[in-house]
Amino acid sequence: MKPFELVNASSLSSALGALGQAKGAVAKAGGVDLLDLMKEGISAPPRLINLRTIAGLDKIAAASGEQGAVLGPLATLAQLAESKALAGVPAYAALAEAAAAAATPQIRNMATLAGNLCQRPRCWYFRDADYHCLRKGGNKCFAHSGDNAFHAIFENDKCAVVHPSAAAVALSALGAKLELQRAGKDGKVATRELAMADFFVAPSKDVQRENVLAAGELISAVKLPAPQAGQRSAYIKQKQKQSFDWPLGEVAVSLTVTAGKIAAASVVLGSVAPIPWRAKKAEAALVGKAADEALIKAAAEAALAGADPLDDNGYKVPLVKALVRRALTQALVSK
Amino acid sequence: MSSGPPIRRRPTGPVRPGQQPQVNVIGRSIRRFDGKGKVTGETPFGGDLAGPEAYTALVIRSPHPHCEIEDVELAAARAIPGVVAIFTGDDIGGTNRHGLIRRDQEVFSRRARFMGDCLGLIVAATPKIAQRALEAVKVSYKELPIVATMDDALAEGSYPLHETGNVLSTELIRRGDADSALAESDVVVNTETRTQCVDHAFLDREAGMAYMEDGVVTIYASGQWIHEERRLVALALGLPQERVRIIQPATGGAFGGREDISIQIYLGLAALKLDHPVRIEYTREESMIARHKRHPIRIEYTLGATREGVLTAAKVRILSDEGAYASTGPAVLRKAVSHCTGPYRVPNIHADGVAVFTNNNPTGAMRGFGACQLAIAYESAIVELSRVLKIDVVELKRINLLDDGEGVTTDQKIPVVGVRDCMEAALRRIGWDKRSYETPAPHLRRGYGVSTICFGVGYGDGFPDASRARVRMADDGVVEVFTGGVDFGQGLHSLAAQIAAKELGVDPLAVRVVASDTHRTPESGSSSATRQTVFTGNAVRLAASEVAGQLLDVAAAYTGLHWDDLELRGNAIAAKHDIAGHEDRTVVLPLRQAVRLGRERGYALDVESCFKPRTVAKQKGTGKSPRAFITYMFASHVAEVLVDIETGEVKVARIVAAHDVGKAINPQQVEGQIEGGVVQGLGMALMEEVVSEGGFMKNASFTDYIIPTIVDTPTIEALVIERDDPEGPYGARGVGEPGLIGTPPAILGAIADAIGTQVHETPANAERVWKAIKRSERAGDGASA
Repeated sequence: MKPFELVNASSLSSALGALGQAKGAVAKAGGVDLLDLMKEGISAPPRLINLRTIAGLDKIAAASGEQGAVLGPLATLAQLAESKALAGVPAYAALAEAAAAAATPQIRNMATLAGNLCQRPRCWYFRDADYHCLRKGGNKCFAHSGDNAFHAIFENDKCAVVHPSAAAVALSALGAKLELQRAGKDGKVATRELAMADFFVAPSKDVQRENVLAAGELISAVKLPAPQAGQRSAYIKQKQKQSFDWPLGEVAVSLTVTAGKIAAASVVLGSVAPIPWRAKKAEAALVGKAADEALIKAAAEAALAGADPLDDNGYKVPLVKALVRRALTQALVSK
Repeated sequence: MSSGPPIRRRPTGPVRPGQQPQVNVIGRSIRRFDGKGKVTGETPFGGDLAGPEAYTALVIRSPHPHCEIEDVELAAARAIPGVVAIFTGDDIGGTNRHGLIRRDQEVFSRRARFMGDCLGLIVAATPKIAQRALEAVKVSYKELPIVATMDDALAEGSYPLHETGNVLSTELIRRGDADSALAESDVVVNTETRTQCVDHAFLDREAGMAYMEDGVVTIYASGQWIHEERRLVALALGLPQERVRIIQPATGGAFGGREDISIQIYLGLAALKLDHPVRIEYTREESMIARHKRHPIRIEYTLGATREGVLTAAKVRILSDEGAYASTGPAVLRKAVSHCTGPYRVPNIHADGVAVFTNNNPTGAMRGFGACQLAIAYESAIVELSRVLKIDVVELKRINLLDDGEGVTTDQKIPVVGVRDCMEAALRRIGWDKRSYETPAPHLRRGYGVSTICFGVGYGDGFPDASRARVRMADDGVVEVFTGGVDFGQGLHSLAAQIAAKELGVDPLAVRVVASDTHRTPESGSSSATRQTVFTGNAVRLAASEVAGQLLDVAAAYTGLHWDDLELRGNAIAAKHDIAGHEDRTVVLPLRQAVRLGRERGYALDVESCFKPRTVAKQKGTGKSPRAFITYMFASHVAEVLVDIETGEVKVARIVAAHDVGKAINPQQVEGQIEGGVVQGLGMALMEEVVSEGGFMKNASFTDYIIPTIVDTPTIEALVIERDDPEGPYGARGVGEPGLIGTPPAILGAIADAIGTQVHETPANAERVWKAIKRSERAGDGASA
């Protein structure tokens, strides 16, 4: 690991200022992925701006009335998993479940929501400094001809990484928005708000980045829409072992059921594409219908329509179909 | 058969004052004297020893799995302030080669055959400087063709990795006439089993230190056989063995993974050349890349039987991926071939094994040592035979398991064959006859699998396998035990204390153990091959009982009583039974006084003993041996699993593991060994796999190389069966490896029971199980959603 300077920020605005000034300065929240990247020689920032010294960034504000829950960027996965404002609300349950199922207790205590969203891919070619792959500015995706059992089955023609964030899958299903801030030229803080889908960047647009976060820009808040009457959500993942493992596939769904029919549906697949993968065909299959076993099965088929597995990851197709069925069933039976 | 020997209940706790230690010290779960320090974190391990003054050494490794090294440019690295030295092959005073069976690995490679090969050794004032120097080293090399797989190695015109070509060794067994017997068999089944490459994944990475003391290179490093490591270090450094001292610190796991040399030569070289303390600590990635692994083995198995289910013949072809160097490969292959029919009565055997070199990690010793791969294969063939014959697998085993006095694969006759006792005990415990197939959800299937396995203890095959131990009465009345045997967590040192305590009638926790130091302790051989309980256990027992005899002689002379009427008990010499003047079995002489008197009379009270049973080398042309191994372990596991037939995910619900250990000297340690073996076996069965691509290891971290956690661990019930071994100490036979060996076949059998078809490749991860379900659905049998 290269030596670096660590700056403890005292406020969000001072952090934004520090990030805007120093070239190559990088924000550090929990530091879980950042430290990995630095140890692996993938990233060597000269200066880290420590956000954990800023008070109040881990706040979770519960939904009230028309106002949805607002999540502080430094809320840890453990806090999200245990928060009554999430786990206790059927519409938000998927996020609490995603946070609870991630990694290990130790990592969940350190890893933050914003850090989780901004993780870099876990592709073993990307993570190995010896492979100068497309995402690192090279000219080749090594997964295409290599061992790609854990890689993407959608949008994998350019770079076949899968997006590593479980929270991103759940937040996409919940229709969350991200508030981003950076230091403006006038010294004031510039704020913008983005839908989840507009935050993540597919390889076809830019293969070297996973999101639109500009240099010096931070996620300052994650905003959930207010829960709707009859809305419930669920998240399910499959790993190779029960703890301390990355998923083979994951699914988050949000359903709003009124008068016995599905009024609104979102189905998002994780670990299948370089971005959280919205299964729009599955959503279309569900909306307006009364849920039954046949519908769930049809939605699962629709969710995986168009999947184009590589040599070694065909198993993800039936696996994720089963997970879609289970996530839908779980959401429908939850109260 | 149902009335087997009793299953032991575990007595717990140390011997309390007033109890009679010599009666019950054996078979009691004596607390480990090293337990508290390890649990509280006070015990230093290899990485904790060096002081701040020590230099840091860092290995320059090969940039490519197979290459001729043309040049290693060191000038830039040497110019960095704080870089003390960079050593290469030119600095080696002895031979530049090491290796346990063949000296085929260079200390500093001129031609690299795998990614772990070492090109040079940087020594710097601090770890950071060493790292900076490593980054400044430029290696120019010529790539050589990569032999990535066993098929590559055997292909016509494959690039030879060693002068002798790409075949390391071959092994065979010829018994009877397997071809004719198969032709005459009512039923013949064929299976092909593929096992994977597995890492030991011990937590305590390779780490240690070395310094010079009175001209002696003193090395603190964790291995499995310090005296052999001393031989290899002395050879490399060109020093007499007396000038090399190896001391093993507390060690966190080995599992065979410390049998090959790791950091010892590097440490010794740097300390010798610089006359300054030096430390090395591998990173996890380095540890996984540099270390040898478990052999991936491909086994084609043909098994014949009569219509009634009596086995007639086995034909077995074994192909083993040796990786880049021999390591212990030839012995692993012999173990695989010599265990190819397990605990079954098979009159005709034709087995061939071939071990081939590739550019993958060298493969060598790991718990199970070839026998565990073969157990997967023969149990798979038995399950297949059960399916074809429509005979329940347990019935099939009852028909064919060996009985006392019958011969294993090598035709060695085994006096005590406890495998039936183990199986029946395990079946009773799981409730076999009333087992339920109910599941909590329609997509789940429940299944049960039974394994029956055997394992030859010790090096065997005529190898001069010996353990020495020294037992001494110190003047303060404390019993001292000296053994060179290493304890990497399995509890050997506590066991040695327990045995000495039994023989000398003292509290085991009061025994002073001096261990694992080539300058202070006699050679006790390798802590491997499930051998130390039998070998060092016997050596300690012999030495201690001779010291005890001397003390009884002292007391007899002092009291005028016959030594046969006396015994050592409760730190004293006491009457063994009611004798005149000592009606209440009273103490006749306190131990400390006996020691003083003994010394005055010229008794040394200091004995070194050797246990060196003879085995018989394999017969040329048949591979048979009347005594390939000094004794055999038998075990049976029953696994209960739940399989998700939509995703293929397997959850192991319960494992019962019954082991005939002969005698459980410390039942808690025995159970711990069995439980640990079960978890490691579960990892091999379901999830662990070293993934290599063209010689590059892709998952050299615990992020990507996954091992079971407590959340993956089922209820484990260890059943200890005790049928005395004729030669083991107190009848003990050993316990180290079979706990792993029995687990994968039991789990795989349970999966087959659940889904109606077998998975023939390990790990049986969710994807492989799902694919097996789909294959069998297409074939029109098995489970369906």
